[in-house]
Amino acid sequence: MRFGEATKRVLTSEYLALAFRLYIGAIFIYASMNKINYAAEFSETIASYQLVPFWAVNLLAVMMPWAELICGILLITGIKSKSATAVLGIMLTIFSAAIFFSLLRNIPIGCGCFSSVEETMSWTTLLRDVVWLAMSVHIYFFDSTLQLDKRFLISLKDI
Amino acid sequence: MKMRNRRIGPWVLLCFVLVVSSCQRNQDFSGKYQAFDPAGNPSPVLQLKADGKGSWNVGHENVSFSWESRGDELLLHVKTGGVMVGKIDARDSILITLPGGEQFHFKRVME
Amino acid sequence: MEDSITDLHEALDRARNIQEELDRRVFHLQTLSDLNSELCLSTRTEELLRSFLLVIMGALGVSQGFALVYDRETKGVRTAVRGLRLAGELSADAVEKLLYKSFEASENRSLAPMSITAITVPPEVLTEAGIQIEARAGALYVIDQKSLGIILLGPTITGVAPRPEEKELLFAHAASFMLFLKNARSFETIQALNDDLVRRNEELRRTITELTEARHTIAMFEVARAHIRSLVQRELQHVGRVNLLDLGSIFLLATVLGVLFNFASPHSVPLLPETLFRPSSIPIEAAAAKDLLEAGKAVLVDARPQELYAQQHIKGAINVPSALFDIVHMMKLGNLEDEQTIIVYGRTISKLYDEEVAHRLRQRDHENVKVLTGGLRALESLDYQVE
Repeated sequence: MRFGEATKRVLTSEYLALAFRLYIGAIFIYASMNKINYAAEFSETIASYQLVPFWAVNLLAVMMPWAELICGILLITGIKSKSATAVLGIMLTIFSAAIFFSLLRNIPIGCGCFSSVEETMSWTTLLRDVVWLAMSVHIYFFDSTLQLDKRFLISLKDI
Repeated sequence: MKMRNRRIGPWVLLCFVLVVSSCQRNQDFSGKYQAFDPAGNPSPVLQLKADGKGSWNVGHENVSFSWESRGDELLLHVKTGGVMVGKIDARDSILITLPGGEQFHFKRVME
Repeated sequence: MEDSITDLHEALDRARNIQEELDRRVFHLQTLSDLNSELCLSTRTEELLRSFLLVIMGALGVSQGFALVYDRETKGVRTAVRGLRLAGELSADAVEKLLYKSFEASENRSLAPMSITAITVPPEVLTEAGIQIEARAGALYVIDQKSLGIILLGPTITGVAPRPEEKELLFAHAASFMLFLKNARSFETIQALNDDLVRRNEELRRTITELTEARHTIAMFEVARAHIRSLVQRELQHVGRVNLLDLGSIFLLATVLGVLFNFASPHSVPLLPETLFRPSSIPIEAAAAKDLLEAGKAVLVDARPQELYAQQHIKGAINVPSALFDIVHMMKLGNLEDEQTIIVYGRTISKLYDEEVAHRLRQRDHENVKVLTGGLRALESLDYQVE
């Protein structure tokens, strides 16, 4: 009973959520860097999944890395972190589904998560994305500490 | 103000180290490389500049790219969205495989 | 008879003397009346001093006169002089010294308010004070505890020494003068109090105006504070929630930043693929393509990425990925004749690789470029070898 309670306390801890938040934020900031610099290569990566219609590939290649960067920064700083987590969660869901279908169809490509030149994706890649998705869910429900917008507003509350 | 400087300081130092180390990496491989084909096919020349720019030259034709080294790999980023990966055998030797399997062994030449 | 005449002459002389005395007394009374008339016209100390000195000098036939009023509280010195010059302005210290010496020299060393006493000021004291007068008569007067003064009169015009009744006349004139001076000083005090009151009123009015403005400002701040507070409370409620507006803002910002960066980047992409706006390439059916290929009259190009080519491709197809077209064309197709027929295949729902490569081939002056309808699957269905 005590062990169960302790485990539950650890698993629902806001500090664990904070650690996940900083980790996921850093991951996505790092991941966005190469894709922002090499949009043409990222466009090729998106096209290689063979899921997005051809007229939308370039638009997605231009927009998505910046969405990752913005959400990463929002997570690190703790501003609008819930909304940012929701966006990243949606993106991770889409990535996981894309990896899943590519593995099913046996398309021999790298996932393109951090660079256009990567190891061919495998079920480990899918597992990794699912773990990140689980972290995002945890952040969504349990993160409540070191949030800049909350601190700022609380200090203003005394006016 | 001092407290803020103290917090930013390590990050600035880290960025500086990263930038310097990446520059240092690029400088190790900058130079001119030539591939030789005994069969007499076009011999491409690879020009790698220290600023990360480069060109693939065959005769009077050339294609420019930006390059970076990552461990024992050399990545050539072409504007059209393609990436060519070269294996660095030794400091003066690069092996690049074209799509379709054709390989070119580039060796550094004196400029 | 002679005795009677002598008596008569003596009586006449006595009558004449009495007449002269009477005339003198009338004259003195007249001067007193004149002094009162003069002094009642003025409420200022300086004017009173000058008027008094003028009248008394005229009454006593004196050529030099000096009068002084000293205020102990303000250390103010006011003087009037006639028939002489002062060495310079009298300082408060010099006046106090003069008064002290005069007190020492006075007949009465204890003076009540509104009293006057005769004094004889030593000449050296006068010289030291810078008052160059041969004082034949002098008086020290006290108005109240704060103010007192000195009157000094020089020799008469006739050179005759002043008579005792003239001393009484001086005192009588001085008494009138002190009365008017006291009134003038009271008036000046009232005037000063009035001025002070006006000044304080003005300050008060300004303070009230400032307070009113401050109150308005505070009211404004209170309103602003209430607004900020309600805004903060509203935002605090939103902090812990997902907001569709936030999601939309993130995507909008990402799109704007992405488009702007893409515009400036050397590794940019066209936002919409160019194949959307170009006319399609000339197609070729799989059967016709197969005939050409088997006859050796066409070159087959696989336009897909090298990973897909490596996974599966038509035997004999040259891999020319659109992303690496420039380098691969230079290395593999650079020696091809411009008239050589080139058949390109390879497209997915995400990218029309074949159209892109076909377009680039035409840009490199290859005249006979066709796109295989149905792609790899079409040729495979015609039993063309796939590896």
